[in-house]
Order: sequence, then C-alpha cells, then structure tokens
Amino acid sequence: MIADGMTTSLKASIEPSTTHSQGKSIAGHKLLDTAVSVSSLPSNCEKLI
Amino acid sequence: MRNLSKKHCDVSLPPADLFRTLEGARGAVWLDSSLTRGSWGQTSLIAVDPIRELTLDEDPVGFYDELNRIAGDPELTAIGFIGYEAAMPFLGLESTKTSPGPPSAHFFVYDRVLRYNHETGTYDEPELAVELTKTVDRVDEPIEQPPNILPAISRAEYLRRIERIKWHIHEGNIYQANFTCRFDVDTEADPFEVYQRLRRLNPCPYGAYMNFGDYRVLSSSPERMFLLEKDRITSTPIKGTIERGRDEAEELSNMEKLMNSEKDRAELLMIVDLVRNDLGKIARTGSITVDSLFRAYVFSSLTHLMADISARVRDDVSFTDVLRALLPGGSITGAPKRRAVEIIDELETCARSVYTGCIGYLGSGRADFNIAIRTLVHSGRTYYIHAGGGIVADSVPEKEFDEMQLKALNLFRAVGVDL
Repeated sequence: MIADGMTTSLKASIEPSTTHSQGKSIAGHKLLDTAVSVSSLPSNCEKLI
Repeated sequence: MRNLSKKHCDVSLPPADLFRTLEGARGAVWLDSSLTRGSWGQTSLIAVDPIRELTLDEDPVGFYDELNRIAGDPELTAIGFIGYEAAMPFLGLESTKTSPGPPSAHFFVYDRVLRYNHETGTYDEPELAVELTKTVDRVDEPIEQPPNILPAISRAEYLRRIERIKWHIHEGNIYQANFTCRFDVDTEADPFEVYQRLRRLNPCPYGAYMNFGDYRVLSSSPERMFLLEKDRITSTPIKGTIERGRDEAEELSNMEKLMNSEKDRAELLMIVDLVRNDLGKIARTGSITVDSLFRAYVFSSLTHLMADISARVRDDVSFTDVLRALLPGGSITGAPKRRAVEIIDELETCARSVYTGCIGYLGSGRADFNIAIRTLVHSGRTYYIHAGGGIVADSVPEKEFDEMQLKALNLFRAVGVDL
C-alpha cells in the first residue's frame, strides 16, 4: 500500500532527470531503464530492473 | 566425466557466452540468473556431461530414493525438473491427461558443476570453465521462418471455463483456481537464440536452459518454489500481476493499482495461507513465519505481488517429504489445493508437463527450485507455451484472458511471433 504523501515523492522521483534513460526498444517492446532509485520507492515496493 | 584437454579460454566470459559453446550437447544445463537481488539469483550453475540421469516414469520408487540420497551427497548435484502432473499423486490424485512430450520428471546427475557468482563476476573453478568450453561444437543456427501458432483453446471457450471456475467458487468448492492454457508455436527458430531473446526480454532470478536431447526446457521464471539450506526452507509465492506500463507515469499508476487491489491482495493472502499450511507438514512447531507480505516487485514488463514464508524443517524430514508437502505449488493450483487441482484437471485441455512444475538443483544439503512459469518446452519444430492466472470470485473473465496473454507476451516475442 502506498501511504498518503508518498505518492508525490514517488512521482517526483521518476520525473525525467539526468539519471533517467529514455528507454530502449528490444524486439519492438519498449523497456524502461532504471529510472527510480530504490530508496525513493515505498518500503514495500522494489524495482528489479 | 570424460577426459578433457585444456585449451585457451577466456574465463572472464559471462555465463551466456560460455554456455553458448556448450548448449548443443545433450545433458548441457544452465540454471541462469539473469536478474540478481540479494540471495535471489546470486549464482548461476552450468553443467555438461552428466554421469547418469533419472526419470520418474521408469522407476518411481528408485527415482525418489535416489533424489533423497543425492540431496545430502557432497559430491553430486542433480539438476532437472519435476513436472506438474508428477506432483499430483502427492495429493492422492492422478492426471487424466496424457502427455506425449517430456517425462513427468527428469534429472541429470553431475559430479562437477561450474558456479558463477554474479556479485564477484567470477567462476568458482576457472579451470573447469576452460575444460567445458572444449567439450562440444556449436550447432549452426537454422534459418528462421515465420511461426505458426495453434492455441489449444479458443478465447470464447477460455472465458466459458473461467465462468465454470467461478461457479465452483460460488458453490463453495474452492476459493481460487489457477487456470492455464497452451499455445503450440511451430517454427524453426533455434532454441538457444530463443532463450537468449527471452532472458533479454524477461530477466529473472530463476531462469534455466536444459538440453534433454529430444527436447529442451527454456525457463524465465521470477518465482522461487523453495530454497532449502540445511534445515531452513523459504518459499516466495507470487500472486497478483499488472502490466508495468508504457512510461513512468503509467508504471506508477499500475503499481498503485496492484498494491491497492483487494482482489490481488486476497489472491496472494490465500496462497500464503496455503503455503503456511503446506510448510506445517514438515516444519518444527512454531517455526513458520511470514517474513514479507504484499511486496511489489517490478520486473521488465510486469509488476508482481509477492510474499516470503520461511520455516525450520524437522530432523526426520527427507527431501522427498519436502516435495510431497509443497508440490504442486499453491500459487499455480489454487485453494484448497486438492479440490482446485481436480477442477483444473477437469477444465484444462492439455497436460501442463514441465510448466508449473519446478526446475532446480539439489545436492550437498541444499536445494533451490523455481516454479516453472514463463517456461517453454521445445521439441522437434514446436515450442509449447503455457500461460494462465488465478481465478477468484470477482474475476472478470475478459480481464483474466488479457492477463494470461500479457504473461505469454514475452514468450511469444522470444520465439519470433510479431505481436
């Protein structure tokens, strides 16, 4: 569950930035590069890619 | 193991490049961690030249006796799979399906296994890596032709059978059932090239490529059935799936939807309870704990809800006892497990075979097995692709069909189906 107030910071953390790749296409499927640092996610969510 | 000559080999090669030179040999296996997180997928295993093999169908009693013996043997490692139908007798059931494909359970036994540590980027025995790369010749890749797809069931029939499962739920027969279907894809695509595409599209901690000669198993599973280390056992069921999203905003939105979804949380909770019950058959009293619950993990194209459940295994429990207690896995059957498996057998049109069984290794007091989802079997010119999902009381059949297709998407792409 994403706690109140967490959403804003989570959204802010995935805005395009210098650390964000624009993603790349593999076999026609757009994959996302790591755009969100683990520390900025809710404690019960984790990006593995 | 046959005598091998040492020649120059770059042992800095990652496992994918090393295994490329080996995969054509019968008995070549690669338990592949294309995604590493902590203890998940920390090590990849490569082995060739098995000293023998075990199949369940030829000698059921001897098969399990041998697995029990190898489980504690410090010199041997068994690598292979136990198919879904092979586990049904653990529930007192027999499958009504006949499977012309792989044996119901199949292992190779090795006296040497090469391990690659993903943290350090090194092999445990560099000299073995050198030897292995000289054992087989690379098979030329055939020319790929456009694939033909044959679904085992129509969309309309799929929806009708989901309604039947919902009827069983409303009648009180079950709480949840995992319903799956199969697609047969006819193509000349080279299986190792397919696997390379699959692991790029769908990186995962519990992948596998296994060459059994007349068939090969290609798995990109994100789900751990169990890890057994001495007396400690951990299971990490997945229930609840949503598309990752086309961009960051949609990814966030989907993540929130999944984490707040009453249906998905209920699905996972039911399976966590089921796994706790299963572990209770082999665990020391009071040792079962739910270490995490409702954690969302974002993979390359899907986000999943997962849980970690662990226990201490009693001293009198054998490896086979562990299999009997846990298989088939709750996340791919439903609850209550036995009745769900009966209903699945009644409604699904094909044997699941390797799919939703488990793939892994055992030896030296340790065993690590995935649940064989996101898994293909290749035999002749055909790739067998299965996909499905958990059906609960408030499931919408059309959405369940879409989720099933979503799970199969990267498998289709890997075999060259243009979607």
